Amino acid sequence: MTKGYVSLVLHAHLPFIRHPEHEDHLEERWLFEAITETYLPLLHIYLGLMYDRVPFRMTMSITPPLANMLSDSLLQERYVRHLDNLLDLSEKEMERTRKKEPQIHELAVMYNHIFTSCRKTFVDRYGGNILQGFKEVQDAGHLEIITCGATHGFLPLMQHQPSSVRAQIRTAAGDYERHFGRRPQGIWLPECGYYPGLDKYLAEEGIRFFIVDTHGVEYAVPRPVNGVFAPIYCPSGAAAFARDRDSSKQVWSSKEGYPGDYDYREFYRDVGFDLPFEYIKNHIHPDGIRLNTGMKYYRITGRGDLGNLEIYNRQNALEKAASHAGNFMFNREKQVEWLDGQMDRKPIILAPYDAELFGHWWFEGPEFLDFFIRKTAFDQNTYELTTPRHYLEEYPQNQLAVPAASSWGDKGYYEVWLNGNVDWMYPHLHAAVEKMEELARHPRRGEEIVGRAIRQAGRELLLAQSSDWAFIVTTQTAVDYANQRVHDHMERFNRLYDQIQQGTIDPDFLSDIEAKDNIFPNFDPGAYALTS
Amino acid sequence: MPRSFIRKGEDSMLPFSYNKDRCRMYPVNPGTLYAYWDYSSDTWQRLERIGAELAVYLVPDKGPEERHLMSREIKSYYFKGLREATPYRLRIMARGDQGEEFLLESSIVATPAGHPSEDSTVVYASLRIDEPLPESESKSGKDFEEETIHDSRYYFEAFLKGTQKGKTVGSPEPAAMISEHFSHVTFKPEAEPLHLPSSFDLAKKSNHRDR
Repeated sequence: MTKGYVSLVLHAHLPFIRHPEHEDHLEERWLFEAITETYLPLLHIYLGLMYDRVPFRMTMSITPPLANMLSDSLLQERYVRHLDNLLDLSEKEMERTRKKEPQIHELAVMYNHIFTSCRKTFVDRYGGNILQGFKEVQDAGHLEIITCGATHGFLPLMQHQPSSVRAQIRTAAGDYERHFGRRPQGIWLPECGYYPGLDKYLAEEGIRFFIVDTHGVEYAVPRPVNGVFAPIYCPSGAAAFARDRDSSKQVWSSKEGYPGDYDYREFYRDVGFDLPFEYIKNHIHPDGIRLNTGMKYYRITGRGDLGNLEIYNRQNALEKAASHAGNFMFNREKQVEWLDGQMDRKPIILAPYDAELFGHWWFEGPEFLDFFIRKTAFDQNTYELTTPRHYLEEYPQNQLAVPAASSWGDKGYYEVWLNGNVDWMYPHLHAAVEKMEELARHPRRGEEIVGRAIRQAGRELLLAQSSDWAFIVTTQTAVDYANQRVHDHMERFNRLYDQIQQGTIDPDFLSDIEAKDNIFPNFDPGAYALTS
Repeated sequence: MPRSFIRKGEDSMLPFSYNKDRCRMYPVNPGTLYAYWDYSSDTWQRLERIGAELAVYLVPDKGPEERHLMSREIKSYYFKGLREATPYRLRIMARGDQGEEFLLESSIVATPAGHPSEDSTVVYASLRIDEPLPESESKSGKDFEEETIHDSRYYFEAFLKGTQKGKTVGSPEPAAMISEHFSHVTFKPEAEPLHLPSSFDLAKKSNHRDR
């Protein structure tokens, strides 16, 4: 008889980036890298666990932008082209290193195997749409796939415009149904951004649970007697689960976290930067921009500089991943044992992470998960893996409280998405919502071209609302691209709005942006018409 | 019209102003609120006619209000050093030679909580996940007013009020939704929340159990 539960939650998300107008768009590679390094490795882990009949349950959000990209035929074709290029590179590398660099040769062979297996799964098994793979694991009862805001819009900054919040949630729930054949029961709030009252819109769509950061529940009103180790019901009936601080820290912390171990692979040394330009030029950007290929030969080694690293040893790294999985399990057991008897129920320890941490940033992350799940199943009896939904099934009675305004961003509130570098975006976004409310009630919305233009305006607005743009600007990464995306979508929205209102819809312009921003083919702007 | 919203990252393709009277305020963190505002051309002309600067009042639900004087060209502001978990309203006045004249007002916005609540009421409710939630009011066309205060305490008190009186108390009204579908609601004595003790040290990586 176990004494508690651990719930792993992976949040898989990328902003919608699709540029049919460019043959090789730099930012589209974010998706391709994540497919090879995270999504396919995770799928392989799930399928392997199922094949070995290992009992497990976990939760994964696949956000609507990601689901739309993964199911898009243009991006699927481009991914296969990208993968084939990586296969070519790995073969070249196997040849280059065969005689003189045996250790690196071994790694080149490893990458060749990884890319080959990715191609087999992506092309042969799922015909390019790996969502089918995740659906398979969900339908087998091991994975609870949850949704997210339609375009990962940061909902607390929409709190004065209910139609905007509703459109994000309703569009997401409808899109989830299109991909997975059922309604979502849970949601990953974009950036875990919660404001009191938000749960009402989740409940409207039949969403029964969501996840907040630790202090979202710790600072709830009234204060929850079970701390973060049991969910609370909001007045709407939706349940809030909180992130457990300790299990997060063990994985996330840059100082104490596992991914920084010296035996693990170093992310920032990649052949795309290391090898001579003439040799590598066909495997980086066609404009000659060096970039990460995913082939990396060094381990973290120590705190020294990147130029002085030791060669990666896969066996040692996997042993370390197994060791860390054992440590992670042991600490969860310790937590559960401490909590045992202090609660009127079994505790739930909820451990949410960005999915892309596993594989992309932390190369051995998927193997860590695999080891952890197998050890949990066979090496201990203190806790079981569960999902929030299963926990609510077992414990339908929960304390009533209202979570506190919070996010999982830096400092725990809203400043990552609302600060002097990004606040210029919001007056435009909010004004566009008001215009969209007008469009949703437009008297000629039943006419084919007007309806199309209104739906496309809604898509442009949703895309502009993505929290990623503000995040990227705040963190000073791809700043120009992020700013440009907000501009592009807002300009397209405003142009459509003017054309609709003036009765001068340009069918060529409309067709062009429908083809570019083709997210949510079934988008229904009705949510914008529901405000009082 | 004034140059509004021209900030980092923006170019001239987006409007300077939307020609509407607007004042919106948002929480940033427990000590900070952010507000932006815009004017219709009528209001802007009135502001110019008065020759005014702005007197911006931040009014908490309890305690003294804050007054900030600023140029009429300013159209956004971060209010810092505020009380956590406190509702505020922003009121913008034109301040000219003849005194102050009302221009704009925001809805009430609460700063987030930065500490656990002192409210130790314990209310349990049962709700089966395999039973659908009833349709909420908004699906039938009603909705929260923009005046809704997005504050945890407010929502919880509204719920209790509705439950204890056995009736709804008008929109926004969480109890209107909850009282119909929670199978029962029980009140328990006050209790202390559960925390892992600060002395609860996790095993270091080197102390892991043998594989």
